[in-house]
Amino acid sequence: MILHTINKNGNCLTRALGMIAKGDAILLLEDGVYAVMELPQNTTLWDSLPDSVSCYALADDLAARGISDKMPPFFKAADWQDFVSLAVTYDKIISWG
Amino acid sequence: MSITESFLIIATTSPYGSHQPRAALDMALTAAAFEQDVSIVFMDAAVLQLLKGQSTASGTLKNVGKMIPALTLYEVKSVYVHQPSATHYDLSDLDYVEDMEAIDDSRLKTLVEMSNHVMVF
Repeated sequence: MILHTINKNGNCLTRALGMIAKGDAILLLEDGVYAVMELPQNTTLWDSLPDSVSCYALADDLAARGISDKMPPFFKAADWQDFVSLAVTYDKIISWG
Repeated sequence: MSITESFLIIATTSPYGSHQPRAALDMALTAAAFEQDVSIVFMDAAVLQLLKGQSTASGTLKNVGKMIPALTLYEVKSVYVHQPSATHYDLSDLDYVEDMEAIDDSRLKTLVEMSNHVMVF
């Protein structure tokens, strides 16, 4: 079980989604949160995700960028406490950039 | 006391646009020097690091292509090229500084799962 973090805008996300497996989680932070805006245009990218993958975005980073309302329903907003919990829950963390 | 862990380094950037490619190679060589089990994968634009004929004679840059053969020499266990990325850039074995082992997405995924540490540069 891997926590995949994305903190940049760009193709890091595509890279991560290609390597994600059942039971993994994905956490968007910093500029990585802009990925939530690409959802409507890029449904095929997200449709390929296994159902068991949990998706999180860091609430403070969404708020700072004014895009909190753009987060899709299958995402959960995470605060810093959640970030720490996720970091210790999963076997390893891969920071895809 | 020595503990051996498996490291997977994933290089993703082209050779001269940033410090990232050097950081990836340094990480791989350093971990291997400490007798860790190290594999490196060249993915996306990082496949461009593997091209032969890189010339940095003007002196300001250090030749990344020349460092690739050093990886196995310094005990990096496996050096892979991500085949879908190579295909994207229309590269074949003939284009590389040395023979490369190609891996597809599913093998890369297995490597990601099996490695103790995965670092993306």
